[in-house]
Formats: sequence, C-alpha cells, structure tokens
Amino acid sequence: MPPEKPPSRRRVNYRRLAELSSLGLMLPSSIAVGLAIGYLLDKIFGTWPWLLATFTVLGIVSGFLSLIRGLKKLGIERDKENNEI
Amino acid sequence: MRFREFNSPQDSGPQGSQREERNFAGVERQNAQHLVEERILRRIPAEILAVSAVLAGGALLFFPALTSLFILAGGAFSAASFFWLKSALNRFLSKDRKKAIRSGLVFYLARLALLLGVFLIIILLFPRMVLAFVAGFSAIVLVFFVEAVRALSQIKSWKS
Repeated sequence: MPPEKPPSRRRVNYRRLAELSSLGLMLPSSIAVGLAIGYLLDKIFGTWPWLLATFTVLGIVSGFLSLIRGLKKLGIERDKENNEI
Repeated sequence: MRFREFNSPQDSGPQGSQREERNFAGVERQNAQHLVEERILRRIPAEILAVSAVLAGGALLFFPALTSLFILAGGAFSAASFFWLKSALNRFLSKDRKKAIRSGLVFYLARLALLLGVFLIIILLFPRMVLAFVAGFSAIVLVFFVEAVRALSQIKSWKS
C-alpha cells in the first residue's frame, strides 16, 4: 500500500476554519433542539411554559458541554501539530 | 528540528539558498492564509447582524414589531457570542494555556449564567417571543452556510 500523502497546508487551514465553524454552531443548534423539544412537549401535555424552560436550559447546558469538549479537542490537535513542527 | 536543519552548515551554497527561499515562501503563504482565515472570522459577526436584520425586516411584514425586535436581539446576542468564542479560542490556543483555562472557566460559567438568565427571562415574561429570539440566534447557521458555499466556490476557482 502506498504511504498516505500529507494534506496540503491550504486544505489543513480550511479544515481548521470548518472546526471553528462547527464550534460556533454547537451552542445555537443545541439550544434550538432543546427549545423545539420543549415546545412540542408543552403543546402535547399542556404544561406551557415549564417544559419549554426545562428543555431550553438542558439545551444550553449540553451546548456548553460540547463546546468545552470541542475546545479541548482542538487544543490537543494544535499541540500535536506544534510537536510535529 | 526543522529550524536546526535550516541553519545547518550544509545549507550554504545554491542548494541551501533554494531551501531558504522555499521556507520563506512557505511562511509567507501560511501568513497569507492566516490573514484570509482571520478576515473570514472577523466578518462573521457583522454578517450575523445583517442576516438577523434582514430576517427582522421580513418578519415585520407578517408579525408585530416586537417579534422583529426579538429576532434582532437574538442576532445581536449570537454575534456577541461568536465574537466571544473567537477571542476565547485565541487565548486558549496561545502559549499560556494554563492561565487561559483558569480565567476561561470563570468566564464560561458567567456566560452560561447570562445565557440561562436571558432565556429564562424571555420564556417567563414573553413566552411566545422565545421562538423569535432563537430564530435570530440561529442566524449564525445561515451565515456559516453562506461562508461554506463561498469557500467551496473559491476552492473550485483555484483548481480551474
């Protein structure tokens, strides 16, 4: 099997930009998902607005947790890149 | 390691100067790409505000003015949030990471409390408006989509 070619620098930079974009999207998307679930459950059970509030809070917290996890991962990858150089 | 190779006595002569030129060109290209990246990241908050303003303008045609105001507020909150994320990331990826983590943790918790507070206040005082606020807050998704399409089109033009 031929050795794997290293990705070009331009490709690497766009990959990093994509990673940053995904970090930026984590929080709004989890809030939107939590809010949508809460809204639907409130409509079904008639508990307006308590399930909406609960699921929005859960969405915010999960968004923050995934943001922190993503930041950690990015930091580890940056360390690896620095060590390679 | 690469730096040592670059300065080694073997580098003297035409081969050495060629390698030096190549390294210099590589550094220049890297700097130019960082500038492009930085420019894209800097314009994203402004684009979020612009998209939420357009959404708010469109909502004015169908909904009351308060809805538009909440869409705009959501957009502003999202832009501020992205700006904060960018500066936090720059600090986190800098050399002094231990210090950045310590200060960042307090900042994270403060921001979490702020987000929770804003959403809870909106849900409890204006429960119907939370959808408008999240619509503005999600303007960032549209902006990233537009940026992704633009970046892909540029890659295509480089290849052709």
